[in-house]
Amino acid sequence: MTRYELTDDDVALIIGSGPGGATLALQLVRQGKKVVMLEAGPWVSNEDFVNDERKAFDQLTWKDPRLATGTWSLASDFPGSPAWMGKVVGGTATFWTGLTPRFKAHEFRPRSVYGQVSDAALADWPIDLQELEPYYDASEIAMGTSHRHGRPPLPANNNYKVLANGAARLGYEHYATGPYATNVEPYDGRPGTLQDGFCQQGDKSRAKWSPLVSEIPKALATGLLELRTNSQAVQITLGTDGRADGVVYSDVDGVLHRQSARVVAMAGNAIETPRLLLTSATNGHPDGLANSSGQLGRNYMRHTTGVVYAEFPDEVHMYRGEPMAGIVNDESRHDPSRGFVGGYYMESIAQGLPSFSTFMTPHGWGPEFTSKIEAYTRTAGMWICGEDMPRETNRVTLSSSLKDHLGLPAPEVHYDDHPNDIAMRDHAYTQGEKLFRAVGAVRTTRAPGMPSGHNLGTARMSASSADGVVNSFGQAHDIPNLFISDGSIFTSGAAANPTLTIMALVLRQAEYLMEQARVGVL
Amino acid sequence: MTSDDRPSRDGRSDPGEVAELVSLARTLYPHPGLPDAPYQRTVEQILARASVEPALWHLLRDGLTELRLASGAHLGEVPATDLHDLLTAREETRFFATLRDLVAWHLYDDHEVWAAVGYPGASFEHGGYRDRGFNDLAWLPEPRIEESDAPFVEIGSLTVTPENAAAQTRSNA
Ligand SMILES: Cc1cc2nc3c(=O)[nH]c(=O)nc-3n(C[C@H](O)[C@H](O)[C@H](O)COP(=O)(O)OP(=O)(O)OC[C@H]3O[C@@H](n4cnc5c(N)ncnc54)[C@H](O)[C@@H]3O)c2cc1C
Repeated sequence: MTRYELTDDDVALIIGSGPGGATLALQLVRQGKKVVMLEAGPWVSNEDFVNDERKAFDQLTWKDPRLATGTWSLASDFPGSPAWMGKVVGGTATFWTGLTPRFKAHEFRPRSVYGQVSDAALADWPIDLQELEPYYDASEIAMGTSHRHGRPPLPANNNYKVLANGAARLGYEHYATGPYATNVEPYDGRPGTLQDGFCQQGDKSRAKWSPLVSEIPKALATGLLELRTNSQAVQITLGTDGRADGVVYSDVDGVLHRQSARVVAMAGNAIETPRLLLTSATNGHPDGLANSSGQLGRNYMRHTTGVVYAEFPDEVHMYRGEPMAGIVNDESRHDPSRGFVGGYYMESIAQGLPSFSTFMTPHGWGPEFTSKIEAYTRTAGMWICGEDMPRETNRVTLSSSLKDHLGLPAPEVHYDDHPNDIAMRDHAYTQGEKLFRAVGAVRTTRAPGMPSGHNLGTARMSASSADGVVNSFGQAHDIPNLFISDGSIFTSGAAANPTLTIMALVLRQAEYLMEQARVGVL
Repeated sequence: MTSDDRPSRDGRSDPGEVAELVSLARTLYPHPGLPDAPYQRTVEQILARASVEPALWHLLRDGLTELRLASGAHLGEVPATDLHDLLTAREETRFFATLRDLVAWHLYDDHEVWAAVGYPGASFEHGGYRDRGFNDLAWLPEPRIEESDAPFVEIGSLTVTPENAAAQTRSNA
């Protein structure tokens, strides 16, 4: 692999190797730029992934201390686990499921379309759908998303058959097995899915898209990317001119190094990104880097979620096949007559027995609980994914007591459910139950949200530097050569699973960044 | 937790105490069809952990002692319904929460339990389910897998057709 000197101040330095960071890296090296990527986790190859929920969790997950506070169920159910994220090359996408809906046009204008919602910090995005469409196309092509650009639809697995039939009987129309970023047939040098059901444990077969099987190896092949694994950024440093000039990071042995850089891009996902910017506070940026607006860490969003499990007289075997290959769109519309603004998707979800026992009724016990466990093979699952309200008080801060293995303050994630979130979730639970009852469910269970897989909003995008942390290109308002390349920059959450939009925003960012470099601004 | 109030070095406890914890584990997560073996393995894993975590060891010892006093008997001999009531009365204690979570954690990761429930575990080495029934559900019709061509209402109410109106009424009933 290429090696750059620590003193080489011509490199672009990217922190994080998930969809955000890896997409940016590939675009930059393809245009001849030198890139150093820091990834806190190790390289784990697909063949080393394990078909075992607990072992895979240990192998791939960010397990450093964190704290969940607030009225959300996670603060009582799993107070040490506000989020479920990866710490591994490829990031959380090594074990994502792969649904890739786009935002709808109005979801870029929630303040205008939803109006004033009290105790919510709704704001319109500084870009619109039309501007993002070409990048959505490019992202779908990069991921090989099913149902798009000539990629075939996924076949129906058992869990989908239940969801889709229930949807049809309820009068819903807009259901399908995707768009889903897993190959049905060979594409981009990768095979079609084996329907093995292990996906949130890392896909051994490589049928599922992730940066580990696509952007990272492609970028390494150019000879312009140096990937430093087990390397955790602990500070972004500024020069006397106020621009970012490097990053201090801790290597696998805990030894600190400093890499110089011309441009720094942060893609650590919406908890670690504000955490690093807050930890990097310095003279001139006493409240954290790029935080003159005071919005850094605020407006944390994680989607309104929950799961409906339904038990049937007959077998389902939800654990077989792609675990999220089913989506119902009808409720994703904005229809205030339902008693809330925004919308939600209903998505297939399947879990292995260990996870099912942990999340179906957190901390449940007794005969009713075990009777649900015994109905496992006759159970179908549906996950709710809806737009939650951004709020200034829902935020990531640095803990004053909890520290990580490096002695740095751990992140605290505070989240209070907004009344809109609660109304939406109740509606979704009710519709989910009706959907399953329409195809013969004999018992349903409302499960609360799991540690958040979708983490958004903590460095929001805004037209004016007074209202947010970055501009529409993810460039920090306060520091022109500091970019944020992950879901932190979302101004609002929309109903859609976020990763396609993260990639589209980063593709647009990469173009802008190269243009700025060409004209000599960067 | 042995009778002389000391955990043994290898984390094993005396058989009487294991039996008590097995009874508690079964009361927490009753599966009448399951033999004792998985409960036993669960308890052994918990005790192994307690043998290197003094705080856990104390918590379990104190909790067991208190339960024995309350029931007036060796817990292995207390009828299941009484044990259930005893545990319910202690639902808010740290002893209960800790024991419950540890039992669930180990029991539902036990392969004999998986087999009894019907969860097969690893599948990649068997070629996944592509040719082994990922789509074998036959009690419902085959649904459409492509997206619908019908227009999608992004803002406003679902357009109501006679069919979905009927379906809505049925499911609201
Ligand atoms: C179980 C699960 C299922 C999901 N399914 C879907 C889905 O179906 N559809 C969808 O759209 N989304 C899904 N998601 C969400 C998706 O995984 C994320 O949106 C996506 O991975 C975010 O990409 P990212 O690059 O911003 O961050 P990540 O993928 O989280 O990558 C961030 C990387 O940065 C590294 N890092 C962080 N801080 C530092 C630091 N200080 N120094 C060095 N490295 C650092 C981390 O180790 C990590 O590898 C799912 C998530 C989960 C947990």
